[in-house]
Amino acid sequence: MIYRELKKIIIYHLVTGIIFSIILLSVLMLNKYGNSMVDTISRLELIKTNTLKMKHSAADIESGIRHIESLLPDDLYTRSPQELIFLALDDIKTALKRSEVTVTNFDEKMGTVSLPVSIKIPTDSYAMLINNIGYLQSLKFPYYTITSIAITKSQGMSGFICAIDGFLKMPVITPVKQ
Amino acid sequence: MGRDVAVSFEGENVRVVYATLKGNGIVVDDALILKDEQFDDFLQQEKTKKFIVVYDFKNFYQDIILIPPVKNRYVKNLIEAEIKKRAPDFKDFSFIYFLHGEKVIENRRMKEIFIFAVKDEILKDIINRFINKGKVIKTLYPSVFSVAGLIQSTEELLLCVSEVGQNKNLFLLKDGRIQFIRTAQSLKTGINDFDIQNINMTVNYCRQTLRLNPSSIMLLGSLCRAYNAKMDTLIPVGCLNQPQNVSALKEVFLDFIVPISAFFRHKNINIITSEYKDFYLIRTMLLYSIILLSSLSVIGLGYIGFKIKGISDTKSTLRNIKNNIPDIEESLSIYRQQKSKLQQYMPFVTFINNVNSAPDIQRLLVMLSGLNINNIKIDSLAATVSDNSSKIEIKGTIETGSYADMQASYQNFIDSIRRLKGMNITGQGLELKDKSFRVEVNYKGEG
Repeated sequence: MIYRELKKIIIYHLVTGIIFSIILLSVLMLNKYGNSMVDTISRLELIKTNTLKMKHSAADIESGIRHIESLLPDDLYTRSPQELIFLALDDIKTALKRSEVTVTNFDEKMGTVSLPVSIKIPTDSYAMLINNIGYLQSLKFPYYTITSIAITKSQGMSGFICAIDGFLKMPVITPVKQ
Repeated sequence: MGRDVAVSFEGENVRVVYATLKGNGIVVDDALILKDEQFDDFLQQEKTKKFIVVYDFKNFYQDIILIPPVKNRYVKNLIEAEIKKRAPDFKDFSFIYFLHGEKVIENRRMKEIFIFAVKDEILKDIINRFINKGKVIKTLYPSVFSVAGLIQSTEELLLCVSEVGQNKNLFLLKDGRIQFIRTAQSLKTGINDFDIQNINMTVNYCRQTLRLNPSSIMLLGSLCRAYNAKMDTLIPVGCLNQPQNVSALKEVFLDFIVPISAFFRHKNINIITSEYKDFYLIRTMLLYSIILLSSLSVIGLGYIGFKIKGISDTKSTLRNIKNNIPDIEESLSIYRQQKSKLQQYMPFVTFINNVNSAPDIQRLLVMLSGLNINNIKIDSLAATVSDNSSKIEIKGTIETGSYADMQASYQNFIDSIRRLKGMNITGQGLELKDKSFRVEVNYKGEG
């Protein structure tokens, strides 16, 4: 059989075939490895960006908390909401000297303590009235929320009377001071 | 331009010629004569892998057969069957054939084909001598057909005579196609009277049996140099001149005409066995495959090198990125701490947001101070605040003498309300009797 003579060539062929297969396999694996590394880099870049974002978010939260804390009165942690509301009520009476302030009972729902407060302010000046309303709206802890306002001419007198209905409100939950 | 080796088995001698192919011609580099028994050692030592082989077959079958016109792919099978029929002792054989022409026999057109067949056992003996020494036969030509390729084809019938050992090969040539071959024994080398007798007998045979009339005799190779006959031939005698495309000494050309002729490309005279053809084809394919795989492997290795460098660069980039990434755990812990701290303040945030979502009454009053109140006296202003809007009712009287002025003042007042941002008049009414009016406005302002 002359095909016996092909034995050597077939062996060479097998060897080159095996070498080629190994190289091909290596190429495929290296390609996959290279691609996974590129993928890892992009993921790490994302992690890096997200970590920085997280840092910025933490800083933003901190500054937000600081801002919230700045809004809170110092005696928030030492007095009850009701006490703070009464203090504010006294302040209102002091600030709006000629006014008539009427209160009813405390109400507490959805984490908020509220006290209905009606104020009648007799005044000659519209500008003064605006200032008084501004004062009421500037109150913080407790806040004064206006539900209605009626300005009418006063009977038999010059000027007019402003009747304001609203609530002095305080949150029930008090945060633990850090 | 490659250097080839042609080997011609001529009786007890083996003639070897080394030649370089140049364009359409050849340049003979070396030539040597070996004894047949020395040839195996020669093959052992020779570095050349591929050989062109010419063999002077003693036992062969030649004939002219007629076959019906069939498709080319059936011709070989028909010829094979015909040879088996005509030469029963030829069981395994290889053959070459040439179409001589066409004949009409009994109103049927038939193809006239010259066949030359050799038993495979003879061919295998030749092939095995090469295979055993790890050599490859490129082509295997019968010597008569190889040497006939050197003779220019003419329409005239030529009786060619070549010498193999002492014996003479006589073959009839027309239009470059062999019509008949005869091997004649001889007493000596060269041409003598005994050979002339044989030649004349062959001429007569051609005339009487084959009905072919050769016009001249052509002596090939060394026969021209050793013409010692006193007898006359029946037809004129000539010698084959050295072709211009064969660059060799004249003596070399004459002595080695058969192997030299084998360097030229001959069509359809390779009589190698089909088994060896398959072997050669597979071997060639395997070799090309090895070359291809090796080349691809080299390219692959280069690519691997390139890729490894790229990966190493990527790795260093990866290391840099890893080093530059802030401590994730620490950042995450700080973020979680801050978030949980924020959660404690969320009721306050929600509370503040709810409180601030109500319309700004101070702003509303400031806006209303900008109304056009010419001839208008506002008696009352009432605002009811809901979640994100306020309903305002304005009542008053118009202080004018005429109705036209009243209407104009009222319209100016209404227009000035409409011009205010966030104000939408939802209802209005003017009483002509007491010149009083009522306007309802919906206000959507920023909280």
